[in-house]
Amino acid sequence: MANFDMLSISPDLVLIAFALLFLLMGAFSRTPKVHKYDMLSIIAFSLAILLNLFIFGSKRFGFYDMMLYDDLAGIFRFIFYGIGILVSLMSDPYIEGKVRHKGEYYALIVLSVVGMSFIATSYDLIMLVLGVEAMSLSVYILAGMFKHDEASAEASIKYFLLGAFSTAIMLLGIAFIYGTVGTTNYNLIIENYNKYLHSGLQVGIFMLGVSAVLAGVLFKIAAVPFHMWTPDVYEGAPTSVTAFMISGVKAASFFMLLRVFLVALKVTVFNLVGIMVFISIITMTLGNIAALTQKSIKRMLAYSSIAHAGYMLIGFVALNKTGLAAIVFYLIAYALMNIGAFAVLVLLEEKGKNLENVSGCGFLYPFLGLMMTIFMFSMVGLPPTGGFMGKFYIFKGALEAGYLWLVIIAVLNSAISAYFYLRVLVYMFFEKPLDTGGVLQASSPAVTTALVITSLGVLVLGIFPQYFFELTTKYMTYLP
Amino acid sequence: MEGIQILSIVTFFPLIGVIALFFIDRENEVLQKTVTLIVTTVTFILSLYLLIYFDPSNPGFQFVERYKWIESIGANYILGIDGISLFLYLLTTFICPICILSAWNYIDKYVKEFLICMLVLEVGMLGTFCALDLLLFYVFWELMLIPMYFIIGVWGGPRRVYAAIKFVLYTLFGSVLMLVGIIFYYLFVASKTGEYTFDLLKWYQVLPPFSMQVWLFAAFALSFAIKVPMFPFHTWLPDAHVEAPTPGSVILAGILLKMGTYGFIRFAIGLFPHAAYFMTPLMVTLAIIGIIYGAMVSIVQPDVKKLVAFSSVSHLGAVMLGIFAMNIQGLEGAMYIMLGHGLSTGALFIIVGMLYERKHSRLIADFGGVAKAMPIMAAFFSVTVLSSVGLPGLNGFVGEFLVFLGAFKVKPLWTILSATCVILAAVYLLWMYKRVMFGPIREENKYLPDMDLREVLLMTPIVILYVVMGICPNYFLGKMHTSINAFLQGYEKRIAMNVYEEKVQPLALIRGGK
Repeated sequence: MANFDMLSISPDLVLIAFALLFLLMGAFSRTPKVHKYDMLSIIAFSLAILLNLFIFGSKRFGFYDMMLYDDLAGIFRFIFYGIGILVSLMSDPYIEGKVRHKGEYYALIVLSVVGMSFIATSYDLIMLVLGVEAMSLSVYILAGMFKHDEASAEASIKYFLLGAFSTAIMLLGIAFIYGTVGTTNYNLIIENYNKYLHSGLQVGIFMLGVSAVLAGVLFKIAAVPFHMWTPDVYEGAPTSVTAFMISGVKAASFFMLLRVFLVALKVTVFNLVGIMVFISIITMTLGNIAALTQKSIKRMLAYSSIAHAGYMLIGFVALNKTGLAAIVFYLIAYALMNIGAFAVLVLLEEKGKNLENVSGCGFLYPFLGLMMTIFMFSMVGLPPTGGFMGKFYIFKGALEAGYLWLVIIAVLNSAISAYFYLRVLVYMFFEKPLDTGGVLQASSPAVTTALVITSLGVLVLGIFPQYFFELTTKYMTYLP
Repeated sequence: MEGIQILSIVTFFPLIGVIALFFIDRENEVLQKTVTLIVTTVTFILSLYLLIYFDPSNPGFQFVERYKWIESIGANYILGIDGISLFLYLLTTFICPICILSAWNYIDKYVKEFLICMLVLEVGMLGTFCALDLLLFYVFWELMLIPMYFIIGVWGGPRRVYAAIKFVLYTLFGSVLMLVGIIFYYLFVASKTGEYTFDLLKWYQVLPPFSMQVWLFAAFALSFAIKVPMFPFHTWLPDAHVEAPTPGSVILAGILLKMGTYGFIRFAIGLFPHAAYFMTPLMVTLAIIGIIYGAMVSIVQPDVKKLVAFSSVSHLGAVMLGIFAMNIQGLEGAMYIMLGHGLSTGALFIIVGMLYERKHSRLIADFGGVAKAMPIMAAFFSVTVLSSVGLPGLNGFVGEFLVFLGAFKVKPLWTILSATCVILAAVYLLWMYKRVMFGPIREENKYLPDMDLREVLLMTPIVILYVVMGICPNYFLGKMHTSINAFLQGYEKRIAMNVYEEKVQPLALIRGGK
């Protein structure tokens, strides 16, 4: 029992070491600019991926059963580290000159990924909270990284206050759960629930705890009605950080939803389905309708990310293998297309805040135009892109479970969403360039690499989804 | 013939052009256009292989290719054509080089992007007509939305953005519901046969209960009806047609609209015969309204392009009438109008484009008497107008005659009502032709240049086809006949099966089939 299984957390140890190195390099170096933090961070993530590959396929309990490394955790670690690499690629030219201590920026990205990775391996609610906090605290700071930008500072404060509030509620829920079943270990929760909880009052308190945990998770995935922070925070945060939050934090939060509710609290899952159906409907509908009127691309993408969370919740509602595996597949496609879209915005930053400002950019910079086209059509869910296959799998899962009407609401939603995604392309291709338009904010091989990787990824997921979907299905072993 | 993956080669051949275009200098527009023209022409020549080796006595799918695609869900890469899709496929490869040629001077900005859009569009359209796997079909069906959106939005007229978005939203709205239908039916097939597959031929063997058919038919038919476009889903069409650049309009009228009618035959009716039978009165009523409404609206249009656009609503109504007559004459006639309309309306749009290039106006009132200035164009224009009106000896007549023959057999009243479209077509087209071409010529129109060699070259094959199709329809009908006959026999056989008494809850079925 008392096994300190260092191997299972070895990728994270490597990452922590690199994060400390970044901090030290920043502190001790007289000429901080010369350091290639982005290269180092990519090396760090690559090492982590290699180590993860090494232990992938094994199932390991560790640290007094507080951690469990299994295949699903392994897959999610790949997703998180991959996101780390992509975000590192797109960060450097963007924060150049805007962030004084670049080492800290990269250290925080790396530490936040470590937090996500802890979420993926946690097998105990306390451990889970540690992971959530490690991830969130780093992101609170990252969101405010542009110190002299009011929006950035506001985003940071807002995210911090609401995030801390949500974590507190989550902790409260965990306390209730602990109070009723006397444990925070995923396995034991179930056991003790069946063993000790007999009276309605006890079950009631337990369910109260579950609801509070659910509220915390829903806050992190930005589902309605816990979505209020999303547009301001996503818009205000530096674009590269937004990309990180929208892909990484959301993926980690969905992992929480899968692991905590399908493993630890699975007795309660069926009680939750009704409310989750409702939440998924209002989440996608409100997200899409609010996105319709946005003038800022970042804000539009923020609302659209709410809508995407709604689609993914359908997979959870379906509660079958297809639906749950579809969530993971969708998350991968979603991360790729969002990081890609934000990478385009990184290159257009000075202009790219508002729709009018990108007028004519599509033909001015054909490469960026092509990339944005791929990402936008993927978000609409048109073939041959990953967004289409993701939606397809989600709908398939939901139909298998008999939720025809829910699927119809979802497809009508995605038809609505076409309007605002295509509007970006309208401005990029159909409008004349503004006279005031400057040149590219920054053009860099690193960002271009990130764009090529994400766009190819989106297309591969769309044309040959087979491999990825089988992978996610194979390891989606949690079914109530 | 085994071993040559001719359908894949033809369908994806235009992509070679896309790759080539990436390597051509942006400034060298003539080379870009030439390369695209060559690639599309070669695609057409390659597709003639299908015509030559197509076995008219075989009612089934030919040149079938079958590969595994997404194995875990049973989606395969299956291509194949029969008598119904053969000519639509060939029409596509035939129209595309003509479109490129017609765009030669018309497109003057972002030439490379335009050509890439056209080539990708061609791939999407060709794939739609030969895909025999429902998921693959859906992928191609949606794929062609993307380039069309750009073609209308970037190179279109003054209200192009509005038209482009309207076009995409309308078609997307229809097709996402079709996607739900596809997945739903897919799960149903799996629950019946235990096999997860999107294979159309296997789907044909499973007949859903009536209550389910009606809903599925509605989901599919809505998507196709928007594309056709049937009244009252036609409002995107005038906007899209008028705002699109000439090649876009030609593709829209010539091919995209046929994807809707093709979908009706192949999927909506083929898969859900009872529902189609049940819905026939509604569909026919809408078709007749479309025929008359389209024609009436055409009469009063001051804009030539709009007139041609509305005339499409009318002509496609006739196609729908022929399809839902559900007999051999009706269906063959519908197929024939589809081909004929593709040629003659495409040609009308090309001529309107030529007029616009010269005068920068499409208003009928701005012309008049220009036949004196442009005798060659007047000749081509007159043949095209007559073909569209349905003059015997040209392509239009055969199709209309067959459709009315087929429809008359079933419901004489329908036919009498819809036959008015022939008269109305003569009214709006000939009247428009008279006002544009004859009468006193205005001073400023006297020196409009006549058609040049390129324009003559691009119109000539179309006109030749009018005559060929008008004089020897048997060649074309012969290739279609066996397939259409088999289709109808299958339809009647399936209609005879009783699916009404089966009390099934479709959702329960699916749940049980997990």
